[in-house]
Amino acid sequence: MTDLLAARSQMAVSLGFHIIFSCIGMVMPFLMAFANYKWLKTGQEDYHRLMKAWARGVAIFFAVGAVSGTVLSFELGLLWPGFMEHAGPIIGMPFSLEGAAFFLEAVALGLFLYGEKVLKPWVHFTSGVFVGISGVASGILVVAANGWMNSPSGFDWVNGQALNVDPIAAMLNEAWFTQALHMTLAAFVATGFGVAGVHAWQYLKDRSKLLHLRALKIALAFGAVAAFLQPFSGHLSADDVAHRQPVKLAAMESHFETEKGASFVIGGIPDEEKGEVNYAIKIPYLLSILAFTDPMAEVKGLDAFPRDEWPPVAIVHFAFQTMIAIGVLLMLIGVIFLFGQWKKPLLVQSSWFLKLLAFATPLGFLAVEAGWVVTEVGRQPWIIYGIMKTADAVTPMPGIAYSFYVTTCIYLVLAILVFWLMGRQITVFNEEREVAHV
Amino acid sequence: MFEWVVMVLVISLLLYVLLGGADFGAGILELFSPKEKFDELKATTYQAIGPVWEANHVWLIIVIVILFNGFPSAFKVISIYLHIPLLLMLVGIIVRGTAFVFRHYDAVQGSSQKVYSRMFAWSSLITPFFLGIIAGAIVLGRMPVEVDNFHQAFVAPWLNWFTVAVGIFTSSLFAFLAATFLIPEIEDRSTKELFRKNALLTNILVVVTGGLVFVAGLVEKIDFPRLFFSHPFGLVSVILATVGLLVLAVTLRKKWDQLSRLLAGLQGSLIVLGWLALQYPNLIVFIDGTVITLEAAAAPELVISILGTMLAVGVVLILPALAYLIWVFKYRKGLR
Repeated sequence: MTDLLAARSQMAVSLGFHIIFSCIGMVMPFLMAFANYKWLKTGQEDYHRLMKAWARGVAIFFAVGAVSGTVLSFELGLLWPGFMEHAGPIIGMPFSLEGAAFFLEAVALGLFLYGEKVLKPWVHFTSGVFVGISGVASGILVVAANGWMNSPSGFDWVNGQALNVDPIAAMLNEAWFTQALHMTLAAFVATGFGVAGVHAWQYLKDRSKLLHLRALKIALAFGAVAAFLQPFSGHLSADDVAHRQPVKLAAMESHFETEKGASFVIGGIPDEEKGEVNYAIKIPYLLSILAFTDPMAEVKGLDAFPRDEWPPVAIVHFAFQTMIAIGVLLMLIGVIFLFGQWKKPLLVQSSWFLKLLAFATPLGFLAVEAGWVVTEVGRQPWIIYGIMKTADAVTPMPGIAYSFYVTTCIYLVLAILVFWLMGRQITVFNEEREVAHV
Repeated sequence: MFEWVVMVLVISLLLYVLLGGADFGAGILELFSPKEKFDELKATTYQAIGPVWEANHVWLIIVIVILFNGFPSAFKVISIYLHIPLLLMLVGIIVRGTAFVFRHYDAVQGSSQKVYSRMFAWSSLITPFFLGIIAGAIVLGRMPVEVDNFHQAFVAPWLNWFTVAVGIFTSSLFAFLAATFLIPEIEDRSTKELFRKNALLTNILVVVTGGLVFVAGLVEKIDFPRLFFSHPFGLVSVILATVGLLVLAVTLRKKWDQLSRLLAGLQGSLIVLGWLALQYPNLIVFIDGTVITLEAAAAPELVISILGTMLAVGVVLILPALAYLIWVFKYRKGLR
């Protein structure tokens, strides 16, 4: 394993691990605060139990997210010192704001978790909402920094040095809005469906546990609305990528040849050597319409770019297809749910729907991971698009493979531990007696 | 604006050492506490640091962000040549942070508690050790100019008698801070006595390991006389810190707990400020004697002024929030 590959793999594992916890850390506080709100409004003890159970979840996920985030802030330098040397001053602004947002989140979480008996009920509730708001703010700021890597701005690159650095222009780069919007919605979809799926599974096992049904409705309401909006945000992102990083779009779609009236490729196996996609379904003109809102628009193919500037086509293509497929599926489930709540309230209790939800538990997170693969692998071979190659940014220290093995083992053990802990939370939660029934 | 950024950097580092340090120290004390007192110690630790747990560790992130944003060339050198101790410190941070939360939030309070406690205590001891090694390596200033071989470039700058001594000293200092800070938080009288004893013992430990740092410094041929006389503030800090330790022995004996707490905080601050004063104006020192000074490492003026503004925004947002948090859990709780 070369040092470059090891460093990229370690970064992928670290980001891939952290993103799950940040998604949950961003969205679950809202669920927790909502349960708190219902409790304050109705006085039903069940909502109090639900709030406490979700708060325990938030505490665990937040802590793991916080430590893995701390690791990432160091890893940027440990693995990519050549990148950070130049990028640090340029994109430091969102990071320093993120530090403040993260601090507020930690304070609000401390107040919420430990303050129930000390604070006035509505102050306690507000602190819960603040955890979520500052979490989302943190997420948006970090994504803005990533957006800059895709759409570098706010500096002049002269002989390998960044001159005339303007951190504000860098933060407000062209990609920040579409990426942040897409990621925030994705966090709501993934967490909403994830939490709803767990409760659906528990409710399937024991229909007398009505609190699980209430819980899944709350979580799914968040997830469904976000899943409905997500395709629109996805379209904005695709439109943006088509203009800014045409080579990434070409890889996502395995679009090898530049053409007018390009078709949208669904599925298929790209063959980079021959420059074609096998076994794919092609919908004529759709790619041109999606990217440029004109059926005859010319979409640049991979052939328009030098071979050494292609990202790994197959990986990006599969990841993109996975993301889209899951996105569509979750949107459909969400629409069924929302329609059901409006017209057929009992639909949500039918076994087939509950089974579908249980099956969908991990899908949102899978889509988040796939989406990040599209963003990050799709930018390769660049670390700063068009400015600096990833290979030129990697640390000169040899033996990064060992660091990769250590990191991977730790994250693997942690992932297993968190799973196991969640299992124990659920078991104990189920053993508690339900106080009031609907 | 430059001074302001440096000031926030120094204060963040200081707060990390004092608050984060006391958190680490609480874990170290668990390791050396008698079995029958363990549960109470655990409860006290939790009471005292639970609500501010996450906040205490955000200071480290602030330090890192200021470094890579404001002083990128120094951040680069540290990241490359101190890669190994940084990675080991991060492993400690992960294990410790997760073990603490798992210990409290695991729904089943069974045999796994022991495992969490062990993970928490050992990582509390080891993480500050590597933190000290990193600080020691920066003081010692043996960053390589070119990479000849792995050992010379990526091990020698941070692994020697001096850095190891600083590592041991850091762990001792953190244990001492925790022992002193926690005394007023304890209600049970015999445990309170135990903590006063702990504070005294760790106080002595700090003096001994501090001496060790000097001896190891001599072994590594650090020219202390020249260092001290060229940095009078550093010298004064070190002398004050040493004298303070003796005064503290008295206040502990007299059971002036709040005063002891204050003195311990002052000690920790003097040690950090003394270290930084000895370092100034150099940020990175290479083995051939060339340096990157604080000013030379600084990012362009516009970047520094925006960073400074963002930090000011952060301070305005964070300080009231933090004050409220502390008011709710320390002050108001004490009144009830």
